[in-house]
Amino acid sequence: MSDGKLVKDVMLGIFEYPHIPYWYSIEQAIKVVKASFIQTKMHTEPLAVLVFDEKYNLLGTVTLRDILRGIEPLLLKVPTKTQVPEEEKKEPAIAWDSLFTQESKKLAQKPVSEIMVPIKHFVEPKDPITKAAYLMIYYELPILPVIEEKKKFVGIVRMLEIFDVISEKIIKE
Amino acid sequence: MVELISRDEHEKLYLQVFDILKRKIESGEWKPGTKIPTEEQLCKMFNVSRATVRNAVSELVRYGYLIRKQGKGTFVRKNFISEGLLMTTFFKKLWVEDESIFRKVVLAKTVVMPVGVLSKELGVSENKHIIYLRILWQSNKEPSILQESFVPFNICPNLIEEDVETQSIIDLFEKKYSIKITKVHNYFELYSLNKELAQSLQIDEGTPVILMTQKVFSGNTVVLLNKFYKKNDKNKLFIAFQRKIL
Repeated sequence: MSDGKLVKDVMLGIFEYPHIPYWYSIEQAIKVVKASFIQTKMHTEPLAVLVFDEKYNLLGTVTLRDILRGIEPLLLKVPTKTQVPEEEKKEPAIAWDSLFTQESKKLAQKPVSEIMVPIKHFVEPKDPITKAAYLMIYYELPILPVIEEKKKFVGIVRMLEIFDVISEKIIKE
Repeated sequence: MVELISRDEHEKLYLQVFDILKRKIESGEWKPGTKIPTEEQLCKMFNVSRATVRNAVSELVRYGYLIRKQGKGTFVRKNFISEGLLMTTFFKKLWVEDESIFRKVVLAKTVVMPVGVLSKELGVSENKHIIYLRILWQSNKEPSILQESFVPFNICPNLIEEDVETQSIIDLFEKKYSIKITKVHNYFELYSLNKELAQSLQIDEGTPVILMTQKVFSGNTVVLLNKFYKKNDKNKLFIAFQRKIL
């Protein structure tokens, strides 16, 4: 289905995305998002910031959703994936203007390590893109890192390129 | 002669105006003690906004090229540095008298984005990647100086792969990557460290340290920004100058 295409054929360079160390505060991460994506109108969808340790190993990713969720106490309490059946899901009674206020300013001083999503899944450059597609869909990953020889972080896979390759073959017939 | 500024260049306008005015002073076109044109005249001269001129002039005042006199205008300083003694110094990786008693430990080598003041100090925009190094200098196994170094990624991408424990950044620049260092600006101030940096120096958060900020240039580009945080111990920062033999 994917024409034998490999991850290395579709991956983006890691410098397409901003880098931050885990000790940056959420506020600093917000400034990075604004400077790298919003002010420059460079919308490298999905918008994500890569979080590294002191030895430049990739630790995790932070998306806009992770940031906003991380600075609102009410959202922090809600489990990430819904664990209640559909019919029981109701919007809680919330005074909307009570969200994202003073408390959020305080929470924005926390390090990003507390809100980042750790990297658990990755692909190698020589992996078929079908593997990348499977991992991204199954685990609902915004982006998937490409790691060479289990050590060196060399690229990023996005749904856009994967979709493009896989869909090509399907609509061709 | 009126030099024109380039709007195609990425360099900020006020920095270009700064450079042009600086050259006028250094070349003697504007003599020491003379009054410089008004903001309005400068705006017309370069076809830029008042804010741009104001920024450029403020920087020249800060660097000691110009002096403001209340109600009179802005003047070229008489005791400008070029009238002083010309002295030279050796550029050392650590500004202490005896480097040999110091041991270097690399605490961090990673990539960051320069949000806030850092972007201004480096003269790069906030969406550019920066190589970040954090190095601890110990003497007698005691932490003494903490160094943070920032290098715009595009200046030397391979630096991230280099062993900076046994080699200095300046040596790598000069000897391996042909980046010639042409000038260095040092700023000294009293500073108090945040919790995280204070821990590395084994001092309490907020304890005063001396901060030496070092801008290392190649031409007009900052290729390296160093911040040395020196805690209060028996080691001293040291710079030796020597009269150049002509």
